[in-house]
Amino acid sequence: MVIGCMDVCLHYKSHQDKSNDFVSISEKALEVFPRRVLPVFTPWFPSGTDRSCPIKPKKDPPVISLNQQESSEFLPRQPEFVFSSSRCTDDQEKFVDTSKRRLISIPAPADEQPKADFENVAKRCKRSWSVYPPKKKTPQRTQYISRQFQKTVQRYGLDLHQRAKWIISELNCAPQSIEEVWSKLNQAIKQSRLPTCNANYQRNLIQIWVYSDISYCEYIGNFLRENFQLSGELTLAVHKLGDIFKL
Amino acid sequence: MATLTRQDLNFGQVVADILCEFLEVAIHLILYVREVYPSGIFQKRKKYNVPVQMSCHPELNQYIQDTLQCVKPLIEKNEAGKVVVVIMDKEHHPVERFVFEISQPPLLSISSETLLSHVEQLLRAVILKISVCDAVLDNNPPGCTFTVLVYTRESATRNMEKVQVIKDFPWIVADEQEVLMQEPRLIPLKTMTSDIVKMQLYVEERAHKGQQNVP
Repeated sequence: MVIGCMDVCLHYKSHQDKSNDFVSISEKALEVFPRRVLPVFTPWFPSGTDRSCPIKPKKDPPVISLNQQESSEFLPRQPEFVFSSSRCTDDQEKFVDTSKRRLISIPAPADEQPKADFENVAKRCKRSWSVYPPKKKTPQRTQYISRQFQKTVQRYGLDLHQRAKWIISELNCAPQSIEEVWSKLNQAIKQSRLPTCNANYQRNLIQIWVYSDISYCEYIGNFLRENFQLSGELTLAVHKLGDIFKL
Repeated sequence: MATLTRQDLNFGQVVADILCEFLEVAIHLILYVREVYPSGIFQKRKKYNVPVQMSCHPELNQYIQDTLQCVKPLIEKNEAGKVVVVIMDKEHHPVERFVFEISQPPLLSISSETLLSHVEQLLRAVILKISVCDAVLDNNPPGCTFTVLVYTRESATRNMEKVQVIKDFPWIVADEQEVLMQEPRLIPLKTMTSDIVKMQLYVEERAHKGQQNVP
């Protein structure tokens, strides 16, 4: 008997004329072979599973809630919380430490849900730029430069079309919030009341940077001070030179 | 330029020092960027000549330091293949895995330039990639926590003794639940090749972060 892929050929001798037997023989030949499921191979030596399973500290990391963060026992500026890695420099001159100020600016009463606080913080921490006005209106009378400012321009060899930025800090805004000043400033830029201006709210520094051409800087500075009731000194900074003028 | 082997001049120790210092900065930055902890506990610092965010919370700092102190002997002996910072949701299922794959050459050509400026430049590039990785990752669900996994080149259980450096800081083999992530999205962040260490950093991100990961 030869079994093909699909066909079964049964060879028999002419004198064996028992057709019923042939059918039963064929059926037996086609019976499914008994099969057994092989057990999963588990080697006695370090297995692949063991090797790929990483290790981790048994202890879980600390959980710090927003309330705990704001509690008086934890303030990043306190000397006992100085970052343990001495290899990281605390460059206070270049990078303004805002942690404490941030705590002040994000009021989170104990009643509020931490989830809402998290979302709030995340939302606020995004950078934002002012909307640029569709049409530029640059009234000529705004191009006023005082003698003192002119001297500064000459001393640093600045071009009148060079960009400079006024830095508005949180302290300048008091008693109003910096957010209020930011929204007023946006309105003013949108309405083209501040020629050549665009502004950037550096939320992580809690500062507003108001950019303009040097020729309009003084006008812009006075405008900001008068219209937004800013107090204290406003600083004018130029790229690479740093602070060049105070108003 | 001299050619040194791993045994010379405590080469392994030098690499371990450099990598652990880098990993410390990287872990702090990941925790800040991925909002695992409130932003108020972080402070701006300077490392590799770039601004980085470092935690000021003593407990968290101690935890990260202890972890890395235990990992250091493995890196020193070139026995750690991967160090993974896993961010997990409330149910302890991973939502993101920041994978640092480390490889060290058996031989190295060493010079002062190689060690100081070039490696620092490369590490700086990795740090900068971490600081902007939130642009390519989806937001994590609230209440996330983290853990650090170490993949050893040989059997994990064999290496267990080597990491028990600190008495009160035991190590265990991680649960499968904390390791496996179904159909993760792979986001390559940075590779670096220097004479003393090769490293690649990628993120495995769970496809649907809002939903529970069912292995």
